[in-house]
Amino acid sequence: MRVTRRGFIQAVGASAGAAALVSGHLAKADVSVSGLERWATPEETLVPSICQQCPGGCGFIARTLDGELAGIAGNPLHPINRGALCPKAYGALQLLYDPNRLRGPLARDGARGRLRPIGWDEALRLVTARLSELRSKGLAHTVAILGGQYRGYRDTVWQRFAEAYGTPNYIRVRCLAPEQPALAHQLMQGVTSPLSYDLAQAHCILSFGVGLLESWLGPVHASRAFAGLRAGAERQRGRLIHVDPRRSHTAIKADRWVPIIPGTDGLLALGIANALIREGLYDREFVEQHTHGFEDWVDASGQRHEGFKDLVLSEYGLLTVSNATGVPVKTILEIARDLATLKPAVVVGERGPAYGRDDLHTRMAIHSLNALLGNIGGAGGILVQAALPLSPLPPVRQDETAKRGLSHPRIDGAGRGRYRLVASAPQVLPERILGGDPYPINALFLFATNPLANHPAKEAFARAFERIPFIVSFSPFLDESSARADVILPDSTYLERWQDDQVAHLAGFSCFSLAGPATLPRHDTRDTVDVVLQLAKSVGGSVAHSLPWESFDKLLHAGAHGLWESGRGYVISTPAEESLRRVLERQGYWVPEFKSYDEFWKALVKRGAWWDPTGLPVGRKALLRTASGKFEFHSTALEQIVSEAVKREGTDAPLVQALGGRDRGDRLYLPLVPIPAREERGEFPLRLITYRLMTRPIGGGRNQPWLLEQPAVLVRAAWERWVEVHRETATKLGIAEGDAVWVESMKGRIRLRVRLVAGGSPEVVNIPLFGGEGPSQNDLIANETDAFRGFGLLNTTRVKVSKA
Amino acid sequence: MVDTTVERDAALFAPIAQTGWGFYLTVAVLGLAILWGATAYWTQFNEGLGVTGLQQPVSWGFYVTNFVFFIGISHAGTLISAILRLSKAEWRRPITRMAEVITVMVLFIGAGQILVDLGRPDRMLNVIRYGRYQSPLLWDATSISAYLTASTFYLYLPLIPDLAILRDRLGKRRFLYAVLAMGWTGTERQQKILNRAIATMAVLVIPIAVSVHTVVSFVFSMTIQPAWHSSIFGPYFVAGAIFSGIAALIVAMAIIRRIYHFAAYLKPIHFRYLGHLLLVMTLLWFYLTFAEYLTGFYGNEPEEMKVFWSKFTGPFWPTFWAMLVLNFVVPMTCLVRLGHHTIGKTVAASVSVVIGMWLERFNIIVPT
Amino acid sequence: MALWGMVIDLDRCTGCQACVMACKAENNVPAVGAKEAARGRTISWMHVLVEESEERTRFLPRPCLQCDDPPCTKVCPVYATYRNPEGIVAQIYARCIGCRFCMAACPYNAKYFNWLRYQKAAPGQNPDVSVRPKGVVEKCTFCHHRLQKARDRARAEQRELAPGDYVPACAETCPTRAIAFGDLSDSGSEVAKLAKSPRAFRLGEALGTKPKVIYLSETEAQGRG
Ligand SMILES: Nc1nc2c(c(=O)[nH]1)N[C@H]1C(S)=C(S)[C@@H](COP(=O)(O)OP(=O)(O)OC[C@H]3O[C@@H](n4cnc5c(=O)[nH]c(N)nc54)[C@H](O)[C@@H]3O)O[C@H]1N2
Ligand SMILES: Nc1nc2c(c(=O)[nH]1)N[C@H]1C(S)=C(S)[C@@H](COP(=O)(O)OP(=O)(O)OC[C@H]3O[C@@H](n4cnc5c(=O)[nH]c(N)nc54)[C@H](O)[C@@H]3O)O[C@H]1N2
Ligand code: SF4
Ligand code: SF4
Ligand code: SF4
Ligand code: SF4
Ligand code: SF4
Ligand SMILES: [Mo]
Repeated sequence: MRVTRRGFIQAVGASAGAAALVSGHLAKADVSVSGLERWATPEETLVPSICQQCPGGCGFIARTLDGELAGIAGNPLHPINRGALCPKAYGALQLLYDPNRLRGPLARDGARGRLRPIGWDEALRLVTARLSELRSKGLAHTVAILGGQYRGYRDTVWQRFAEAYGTPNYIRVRCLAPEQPALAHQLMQGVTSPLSYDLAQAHCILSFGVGLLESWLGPVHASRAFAGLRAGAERQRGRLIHVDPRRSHTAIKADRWVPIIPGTDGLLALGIANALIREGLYDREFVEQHTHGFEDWVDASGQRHEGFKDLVLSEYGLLTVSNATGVPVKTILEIARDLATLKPAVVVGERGPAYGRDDLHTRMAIHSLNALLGNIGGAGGILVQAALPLSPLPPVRQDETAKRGLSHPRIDGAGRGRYRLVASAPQVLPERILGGDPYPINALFLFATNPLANHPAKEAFARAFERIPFIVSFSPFLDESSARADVILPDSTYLERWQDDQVAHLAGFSCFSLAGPATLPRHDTRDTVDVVLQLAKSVGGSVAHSLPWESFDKLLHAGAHGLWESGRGYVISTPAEESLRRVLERQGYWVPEFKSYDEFWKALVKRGAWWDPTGLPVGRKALLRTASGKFEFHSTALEQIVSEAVKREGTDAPLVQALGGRDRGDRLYLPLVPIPAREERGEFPLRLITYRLMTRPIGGGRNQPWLLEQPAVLVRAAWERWVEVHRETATKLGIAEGDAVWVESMKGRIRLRVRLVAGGSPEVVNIPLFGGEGPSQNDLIANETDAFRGFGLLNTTRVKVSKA
Repeated sequence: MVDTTVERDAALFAPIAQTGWGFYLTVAVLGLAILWGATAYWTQFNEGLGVTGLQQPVSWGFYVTNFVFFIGISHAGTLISAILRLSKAEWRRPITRMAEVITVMVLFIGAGQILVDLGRPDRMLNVIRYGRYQSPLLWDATSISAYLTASTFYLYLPLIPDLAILRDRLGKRRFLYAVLAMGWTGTERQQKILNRAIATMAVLVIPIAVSVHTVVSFVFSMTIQPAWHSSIFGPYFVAGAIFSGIAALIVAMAIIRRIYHFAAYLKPIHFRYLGHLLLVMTLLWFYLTFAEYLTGFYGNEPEEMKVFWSKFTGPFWPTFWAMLVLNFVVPMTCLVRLGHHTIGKTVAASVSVVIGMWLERFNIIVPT
Repeated sequence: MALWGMVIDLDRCTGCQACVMACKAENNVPAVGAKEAARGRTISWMHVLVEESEERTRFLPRPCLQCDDPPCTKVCPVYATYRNPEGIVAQIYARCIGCRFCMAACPYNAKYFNWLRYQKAAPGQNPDVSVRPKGVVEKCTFCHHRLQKARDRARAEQRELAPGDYVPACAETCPTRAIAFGDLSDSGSEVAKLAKSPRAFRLGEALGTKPKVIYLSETEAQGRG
């Protein structure tokens, strides 16, 4: 028991400013305990919480005085961030006290867009009534749930609700699903849980447009790994190579920055593969023993198949690649040599938005480099994660209505035809809704997503909204989408509610973060999970039965039980204790820290997370789950999917077309991308890139003044969105820093201030995702669909810039 | 005897004897101006200095410019008249008083500028409560108040006889004049004492005046900001001060000559002499400016050069070159040959210098 | 007597601005708003500068450098800013008359002026740090209040202040651990060691201000593709 308390108090001690652990003086942290308890005045509380401003899931500690938030600091015990935070984390303070938050539920008052305050009971009655009505009419499937950026049990609850209520239309709007394995990894390695990149152990990191230090899966965790590559670190200085058309922070900090023509990453990867093979730099042993489809081969039926090697050597010569990507031959060679000499080296090609038209094959091509380097299953390479040992929840009970509802196809067509490979295809939602194809949507639930502002197809969404008779939003803010809702049931912000975060995609460990409310809700808002549980109860029957918990914490309590039972992992505590435990564990002892689940739960809530630092044994078995038990350059899984598609749908045309419209030869299953014809510029000579600022939180960050006032350091900007134009281009156009310009695409034009930037291609202009004032970049983004994320292609839009 | 002079100088008393509508109009106009200024300041006092255009990192702006400028002008008076007195330049007589008045008035304005520039004027007394003498700003406060008292006396002493005259001749405000004249009857002894007093004051006031401006310059040169941290700042400021002082004086003379029809008293010769003085100062000023920037240029510190070029070619080029023209080119052309149109020319030159010197102060303070 | 100092490793610094925001939250530094920001009046005790040059670009976080021979304190007419015995250059907001002489004197532009009343006491603020009125100058204080807290705690435990007891908010939050903080006078401390590194340099060395914030330069010039 003492151990528990001490662990906690240390977290507190450190967070309260005496960051004992930060500078690695563990001994004294223990000493500070007694004093701290005395020092901590009764009204001061320190509650572990989880940052929700990006998918990073960093742990922090909220300091409250008489219930008012008085500051936050990184949780020094949390394995993801070890006490560090990024700028967005501090936005939490201003998010909580945001004067623009909704004060309570609202209901449509006459015309769409006009809203009036109502009480929770009335609001819930409205929604329940509609849900029950649709259900009784056998129209359960016409209820669609659109979900944004969140993970863990919030997802689970919506999932169960959809299944129990009887709608197949639980649709997620997002590019990255950290809790699922990347498609390329599924197809080439057959894995069912997400892979991770062992950045911390790697000695050379090659990133294809992954915003390691700004965005992606959590800049704090990635930055800590980056620091490990740097001077002053224990090891010899490592190397970061970053491929990016834009001169980002990651590009600047990289030892080598490789500007590239957007969308041609696949080709560059193949060029590097070519160099590795040609110069014999690849890992022969691994490739021969653990891969399939490298050399030409003959299948059971005696049919010959082309292998990866010959095609790469014959078709992706360095000159060809250099011409198509804009990357000098010399650079391609040097990258290959770095990768081969600075071991272990790891290649990351899992950026959020699509790479371009051949996204899947681009990702496969990039991932094939990891196979050539033989870093799969080795420290500093690609690792697989243990699924969290959470308690299985009682199976969802489905009555007839639910079964009937679920028998309908998804409205977004995900999992069929050209969307055979995706779980959600929000992109096509608007046209399907507008066409009532295959059926009209009678109710839409909006959770943590704002398609009317952020989706490239926002105009189409706006039109589709007018066709939906009943829209419910759970947003704490009156964003563009909520403004068109019939009922708004404002969610509490993350400091005011129970939360969990399940991180199973970071190298070396799996982690379950848990947090109770740091403060009471400031306004008349409710945790959406509680609301959904409430709705389920009111709808009754099997729906109520499938969501039996009366509140979120009960559900979390039930789920976390598995962690306690699993007989592995720990509630986070000081590195001192952890290393001690790991020593014991290596000798085969696992010492249970708690006598009862009750104790375990208390400790979990007090310290903020459970983790299993041992992860999985880094063996290749776990990583090569394909039919052949090998890494498949030639993806039999993909081949199978295509032939199944033919069986089920009679044709493979849509899928093949989605796969780049290629013949059904071997190339379709190999990580090969076609060499694009030089596209002529026409009247739109520039390429538009939209990117994520380090200071831009998910959730929009609409009203977080600190972040809006100093959004960037590379350009002078404050409070207002801007467009970045290359100096050369600007002089050509006679544009100066700060000028107002029109940025125009096929789709539309917007007026922004110019910020001049240097480096990179003069043909690229950038607009950041930014919560502040200024027209939306999505007024420009052409509505091209990426068949594999069912999302808009976000970096293929061409624009022109002219003085306004 | 006395009477005759009095008769002769009747013109001088006229404005005091009977004040016309013109006088009241001017007073009214000025009064309004003051009122307007007061309200403006009130808003600043309430809302904070933010209502001015000042900002980071150029946190000192027009107020400080005005401060240095007015303190400069103030040298017109006392300093000049003192020098002239000591050098027994007889032609000075009609000028000195005017000069001294200018000094006293302008000093008030100058000192005022600094108070207005404070973020917390309400805490002004802290300067006394926690006064910290290492700070050049305090040296300022001290020397300026010293200068103010000195020049007030210096203005007052020579006034005594004339006040007496007013006391005797004018019906109006007899009591007031009586008090101020301190029972002056013009006896030998009184004359002697007065003259000695004036002489000593004249000697006293010069070092004080010089100190004031040297100290003002320290405010800048004691920092280690580019283009401020320089040893010739002291003399540079003093020279500039006298330069602008004389100019201001000439302008004032011209004006008074006009409205009060004093042509008989302020003769072209006065303007010519002062003109020559101005010419000398012009050359001196130019020499120092040249030296100042030249050293800066050859020192060639990156920071220095940033400022340097910002003035020569950068955003501040208009003020900088305007300053050079107004302070050097114009006066030179006007003053070299003072054959005829003496007055016109000198006045033109002076006006240009007055403006030019304001720009000079601006150029020193803002671009850094 | 301790001599508090900071060492910032520019090879690690990614310009993420975590330190900047941590400082704002810790010290109740307000956002001044769009209009004021446009006039260049943003207050940023910790400010990330960008140094561009032919061969490389680097981020340079600039708190108050806590000069050991501070030009700013010398010019203050009212002792509203002074160097305390432990080398921390402090501000007395209640005494400052807002002459901004110290701003003119600071060669690193580390001082900021409250041109208007930017701050109102509001929920979410840190009660350990006072809210500044209009018309006074403010700047990085090395999170001095954290030192006092750490002292109180140590005293309560009848022990000496130990290394790591006192860490400013910026150093605590930095994701790359680019900021080291400690006692420069203790030769064993991390900062003292780093300060001796061949990579170590000070800003405006020539000015003789003796900053106690020391920088470590990058070793390799960044390659270009
Ligand atoms: N700070 C912050 N972090 C976030 C988010 C956020 O909103 N803010 N959102 C989260 C979400 S939802 C997602 S999906 C992820 C996205 O994570 P990322 O994909 O890492 O983020 P982006 O900024 O969209 O893209 C990263 C970089 O890709 C570059 N880029 C654009 N086109 C190309 C290309 O064709 N090739 C190459 N090589 N590079 C290209 C951009 O210039 C940018 O610098 O971030 C997550 N993390
Ligand atoms: N041009 C361009 N467009 C893009 C992208 C791009 O890179 N470029 N990225 C795309 C990608 S990858 C993604 S994932 C999407 C992200 O776009 P969205 O899916 O819209 O997600 P967010 O913008 O993160 O937040 C949406 C809404 O969540 C609501 N919200 C905030 N906090 C809470 C909360 O606590 N509870 C609830 N219930 N709601 C909350 C807010 O009202 C906010 O408007 O944008 C896409 N759009
Ligand atoms: S990385 Fe993401 S989760 Fe971590 S602190 Fe920053 S915003 Fe929060
Ligand atoms: S937090 Fe660290 S890495 Fe980020 S800007 Fe500050 S010093 Fe640099
Ligand atoms: S502004 Fe305040 S602190 Fe600075 S010098 Fe003036 S009085 Fe001193
Ligand atoms: S950095 Fe500027 S403010 Fe800080 S001590 Fe040095 S001179 Fe003073
Ligand atoms: S030391 Fe404290 S006050 Fe100074 S910059 Fe860092 S956080 Fe801000
Ligand atoms: Mo996303």
